[in-house]
Amino acid sequence: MGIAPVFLPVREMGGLLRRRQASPVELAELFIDRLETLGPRYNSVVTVTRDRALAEARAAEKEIASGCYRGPLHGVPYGVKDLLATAGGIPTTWGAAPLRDQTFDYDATVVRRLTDAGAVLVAKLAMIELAGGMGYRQPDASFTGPCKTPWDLDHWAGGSSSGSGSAVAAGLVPFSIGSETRGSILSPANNCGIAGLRPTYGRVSRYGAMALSWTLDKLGPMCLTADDCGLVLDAIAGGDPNDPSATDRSYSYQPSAGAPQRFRLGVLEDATAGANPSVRANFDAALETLAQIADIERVRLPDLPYGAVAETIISAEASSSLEEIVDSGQVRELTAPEDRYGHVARRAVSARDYLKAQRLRGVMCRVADDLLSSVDAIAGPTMGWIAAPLGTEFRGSDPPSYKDLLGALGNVAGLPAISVPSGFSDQGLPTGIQFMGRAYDDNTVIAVATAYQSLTDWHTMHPPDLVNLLPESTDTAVRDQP
Amino acid sequence: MANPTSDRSEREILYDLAVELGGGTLSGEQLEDVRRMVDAAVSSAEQLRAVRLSNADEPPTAFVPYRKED
Repeated sequence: MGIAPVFLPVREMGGLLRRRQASPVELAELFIDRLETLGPRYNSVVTVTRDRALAEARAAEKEIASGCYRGPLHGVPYGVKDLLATAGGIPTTWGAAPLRDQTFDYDATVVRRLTDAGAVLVAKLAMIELAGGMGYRQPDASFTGPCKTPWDLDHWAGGSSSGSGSAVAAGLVPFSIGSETRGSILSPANNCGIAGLRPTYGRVSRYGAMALSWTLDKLGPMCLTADDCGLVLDAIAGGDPNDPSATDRSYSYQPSAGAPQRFRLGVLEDATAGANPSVRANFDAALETLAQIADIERVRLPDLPYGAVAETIISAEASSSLEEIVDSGQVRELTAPEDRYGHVARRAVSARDYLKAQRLRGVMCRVADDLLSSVDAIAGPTMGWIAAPLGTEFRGSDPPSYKDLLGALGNVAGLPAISVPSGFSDQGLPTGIQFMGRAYDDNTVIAVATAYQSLTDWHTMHPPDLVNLLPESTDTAVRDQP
Repeated sequence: MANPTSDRSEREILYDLAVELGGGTLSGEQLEDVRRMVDAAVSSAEQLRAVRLSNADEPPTAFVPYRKED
């Protein structure tokens, strides 16, 4: 076998496994070794699940050899954000020091489905403590330390799915699972220069995931390519009697099937107003590229308090979902000082205001659907900023005038969005472009992003120091950042 | 929400309430931070309240009565 496919997309890795040109056991050992040796460099790993991984890999190897091939994830290693329950005594820490020994006796539905698909769980990945539910303002808000983007160890990986982004970008896992309540998949995808898919709300069961905001939490894949996100979503999507919010609408990933010859893309007026100059320049360049495959029109959102609705709902629901941590006093053991008392201010959110936010949310869902009914997707910068330096309050370093309208609307309305890399800043930090679609049109946003990636090669670039670390025999097809 | 006969603002009332209920051991600097957070929450609430909705505008989350066999 002898091929070490670090930085290979899942689709290609799956092909190697299916053809028995790669061994699940050797792959598991390769990525476990990378997790153990390189993981600490980025603070991206909480637990390497060695015993479970090797048992799953041996089972996969045996099945594939016997002709029982489960699909494109069979034998592929992966990691999950450490808010997903895993059985077998593997800790599930939620990124929080007081919960570092927490265990569950069952697997989250997402983990169970990936097991059924034959994937191999190699790691529980670092995250912002309590998924940012206490209002953190800095990268150093996890008991595993500030998670770093592999592109620059002085800068943040993004959050709260920090390790899920960092580990994929560093080639520590071929794909990972993250969660998003308000930007927690797209932010690390942006900062780490990878693909991150926020599926339609309810597309993926949340059973076994830490609850932050029941009406906003989503789970989704983080991969090297948009196409890989589709492959993973196919394995994890579907209804679940254990999660009443999980939809029974069927989903299957159909790469480019039904995709139009030319897409229709909307771009918000003032989409880059107040954004970092590199973000603006790279987004403008991306639109020029997209013009080869899409008709692009400017669109306008009605003036509604999108951000205020998102913040009010999160504050109210987190105040309840995390009350056990507060009432037990465990909150005082959290890493970021502001997380130890952020809950106090949330008592100021009234039931009346929470319900007003939910009623406005219904209005916003209709607004979004109207807007998206005339285009395939809305494109925008994933974030208005580049990765924040460690040791600073990132909220303070955001461009103060940049309004993340797509992020607020997309999460409030439960819409699918995918981020893929769009270039680099002057400092060599990644920027991203996102495509947001109509509810349940997950395949459409993946198709647009895949088409964009067919015209660009940002997703084939990897941190130069990591490329240099690869063994000479490694078949990686990697290129250095320009 | 503030009592129109009170000369205290909603921000002050809610800050005092939040601190009374959960901020007993905080330092002065932390209390100032809590004040900023309460201000932000009230600012958000003011944006919500500025939008007029009708009685028919329901929250999008529907309650579903439970039957074990369903």
